[in-house]
Amino acid sequence: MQSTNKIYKLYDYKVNGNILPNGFNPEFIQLLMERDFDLNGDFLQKFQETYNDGFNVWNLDGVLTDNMLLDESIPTHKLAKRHSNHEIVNNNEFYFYVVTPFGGGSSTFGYPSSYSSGRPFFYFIPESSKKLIREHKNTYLLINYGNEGSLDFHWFDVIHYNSKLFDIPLHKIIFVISDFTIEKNYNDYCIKRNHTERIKVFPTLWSLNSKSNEYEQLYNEQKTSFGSFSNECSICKKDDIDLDKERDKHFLMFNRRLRPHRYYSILMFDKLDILDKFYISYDFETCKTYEFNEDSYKHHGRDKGFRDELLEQDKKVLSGELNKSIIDYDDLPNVWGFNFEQKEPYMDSYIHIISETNFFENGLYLSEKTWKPMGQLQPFIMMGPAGSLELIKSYGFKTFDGFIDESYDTVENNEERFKLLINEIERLSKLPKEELKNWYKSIFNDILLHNQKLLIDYKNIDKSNVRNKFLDLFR
Amino acid sequence: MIGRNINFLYEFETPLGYLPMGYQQKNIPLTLNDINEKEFEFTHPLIYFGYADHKTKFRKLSETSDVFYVYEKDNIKQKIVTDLTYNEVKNDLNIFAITATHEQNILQKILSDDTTDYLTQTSKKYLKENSNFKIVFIDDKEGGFDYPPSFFDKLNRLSDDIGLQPNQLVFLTNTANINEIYNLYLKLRQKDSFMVCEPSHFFIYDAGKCIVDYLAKVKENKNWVTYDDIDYSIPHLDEIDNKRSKYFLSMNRNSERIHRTYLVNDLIKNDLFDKGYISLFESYRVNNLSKQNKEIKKNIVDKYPFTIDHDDKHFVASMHNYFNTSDSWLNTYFSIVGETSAELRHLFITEKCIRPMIYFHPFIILGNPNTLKELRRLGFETFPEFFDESYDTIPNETKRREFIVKEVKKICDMSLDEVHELYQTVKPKLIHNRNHLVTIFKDEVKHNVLFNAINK
Repeated sequence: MQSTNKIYKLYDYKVNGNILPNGFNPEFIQLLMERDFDLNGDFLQKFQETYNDGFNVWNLDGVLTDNMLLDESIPTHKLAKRHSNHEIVNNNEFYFYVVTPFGGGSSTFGYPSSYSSGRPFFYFIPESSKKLIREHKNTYLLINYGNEGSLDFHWFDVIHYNSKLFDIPLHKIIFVISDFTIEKNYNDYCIKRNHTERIKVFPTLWSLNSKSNEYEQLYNEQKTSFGSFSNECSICKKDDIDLDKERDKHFLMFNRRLRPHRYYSILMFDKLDILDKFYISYDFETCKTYEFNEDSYKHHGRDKGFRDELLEQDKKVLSGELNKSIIDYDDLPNVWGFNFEQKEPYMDSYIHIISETNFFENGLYLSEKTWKPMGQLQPFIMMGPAGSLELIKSYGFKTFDGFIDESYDTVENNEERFKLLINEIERLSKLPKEELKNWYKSIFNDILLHNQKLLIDYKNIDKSNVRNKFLDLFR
Repeated sequence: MIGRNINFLYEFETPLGYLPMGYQQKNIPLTLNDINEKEFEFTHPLIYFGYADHKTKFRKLSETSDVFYVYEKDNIKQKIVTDLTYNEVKNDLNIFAITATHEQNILQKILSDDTTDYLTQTSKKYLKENSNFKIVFIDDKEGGFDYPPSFFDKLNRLSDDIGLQPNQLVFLTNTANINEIYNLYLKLRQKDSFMVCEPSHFFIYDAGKCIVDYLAKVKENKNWVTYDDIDYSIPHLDEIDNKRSKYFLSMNRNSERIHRTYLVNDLIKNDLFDKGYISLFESYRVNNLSKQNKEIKKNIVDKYPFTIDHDDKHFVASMHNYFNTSDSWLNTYFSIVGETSAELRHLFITEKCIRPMIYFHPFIILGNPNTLKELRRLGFETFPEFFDESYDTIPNETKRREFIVKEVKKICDMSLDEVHELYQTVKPKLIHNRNHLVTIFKDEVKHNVLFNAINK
């Protein structure tokens, strides 16, 4: 259904054809000037090198445009002129002053750093734009964290405080994030802080559309690219699959940054002596982003026995015995979620273990990792937040309950869910390949091809329900 | 007639609108900081008229004025340079315009700035690759400057930095003899021309619009308009036949322009003070001068301020550029104009010469030599019926002033009835002059001057 509403993104500065991200600190514009305001190329890297910090905001509006939450961009000065002329505001027109936190968000929200000097992005919103947000009926401040799924709840303190400081009403602020627990979590936060006035929060999903876009191109044998990377990629098609062929491995699991759940699971698979059932990637030398010890485990669970089992196993990491495993690309630090698709590992293994971004962290967030097995015709187990499978199913995708015990998805306790997952993977690892082959054959048409088609078609489907749900917040 | 589209180009779109060109790149970070603190548009009077320093913190924002405010017109568009279409890049006249403010004229700006720092590399590339892209400096707020060689040297540096062709760098100035000054510079430096200098008369071009606006605002049974809480009036034709009680009107206000002080002194010395209405306010410069000059002390400093309708010099300074009230004009027969400058080296005509035309007055002008000649060239009538106008070519300022005062005395020696008769004989000229101001506005002469300069 064609919507009659119009949703605009407001921008403050445009130079040489480049829209500068709202909320940037103008004192640090020198580097951009030297590049004639070209935001592309190695700007972010140079910025980091120059100021020892990330740029605080960025233009990442794909999540808004993909989900029909944005129609077009207009400059704030044009709306300000109409506002000062007292033009009547059309009830079907909505204006969003979008600020997109970048660099982990700490600079954006004013955590002490060389770049922002402790000032959050509110300080860098021009007065004229603040006035618009404050006074113009249908203009809102949209904090777009839709490209990430986990936040620091102190950011809400920053938002509430600066809302008061700069006289921007809380009801004029909306926080968008790829976290489908945000409403509950923000509600809990407000109860804890005794906040009666609240901002609006809205969960969104960037990864589905983006991966759909990539797989559609691959399916139609077009070249894809991601930044400066341009690899020869491939996707499994129906005719690629020989249903009678026995595959080499039970499981396929990609791990780049060794977040805690990935770290622990590799230790457990090693302990269970089932790593030979995997095509698995990990590199403890270059991708170890987590320091595992007794203290750090406190954030993840209370089962000391289980912790000690893991710590015992960790000695192999520390000694270098458990070091590195690769599947298709050797240079793991430079492998990304897009444009690194090779169909072969999927065609030679049965079950994908999705090692999502979040597991012990807050936020029900589905990244591009979730959609990979669906695009490549593979059943999967979700090593991610509770409720992930339910969320996936809400988009029409099918999962594998019956053959795989998916009760793990309902277990909120992270440590318990993790143990359940390990147990289930261990059980499946003991199944003969013949059984896996037959099962695969049985779900091929009804589930795997269905999922792939739904995924590839997703970017073109009508998303007006998402748009209407979003706009309902402002009606 | 302007037959080609003109695009005024900008580099920065900001929350206040397009940032006027002319900011040095090195000042951009602080300028953006300042912009972030403001709520007005760049065309807001506080910024455009440059009250910045006095009322709010607009210093950086008033570094240049918005040129579109000056040249608003259908076939003139505002564009961000990188938003130009292929056709616009190839076919339109594309202008980076850098304008003066009331605080800073182009002379001051060029002398104090690094002229190679006005544009981004992208803009410089457009200029280098397309001869229909030009940089135009517009000195529309003041004029009558001694442009020193260092001024042209800096423009030359700008031209060399980008590799401009001579017709890609244009300087529009109210200094009517700019080409004489520029040619002298070229001779001095033994250089070929690297830019186009175009004399203009912004004070003349804008007067007709004010008259048209005034007449549109005046309603039946009302003979005045109000701007910023001040009432103004200009005479109707049927009001000018009445007899008047004084001979002349001489509005001088600012005595810092020292030639005006000497003019009033000469009028006093010749017993003409009571023959007309004279204004002249106090100034530090004249007070200082009177320490050496006993005559100035006795005739001026001991007696001034001389006022006509308002006593407050700051209030008078803030009044409309072209209008006050009709009373003093309708009670006198001619104007003695103390122009902004009376020096030999340049030629600068301001609203002071225009006011007598709006108020149906013949005039005698203490200004730069050849002022009358320039006015006649522009299509205005002068008044040999009243005065021997050979004073217009006298190079020496003192001799010119003495000649003028002698001519004024000649008229003042006549009876008021005789002057009234003389006035009647020049009425067609008076009507022509006011109408001609309107014609200049309606014929879009201001735009044509710009177009001709950038179309060379």
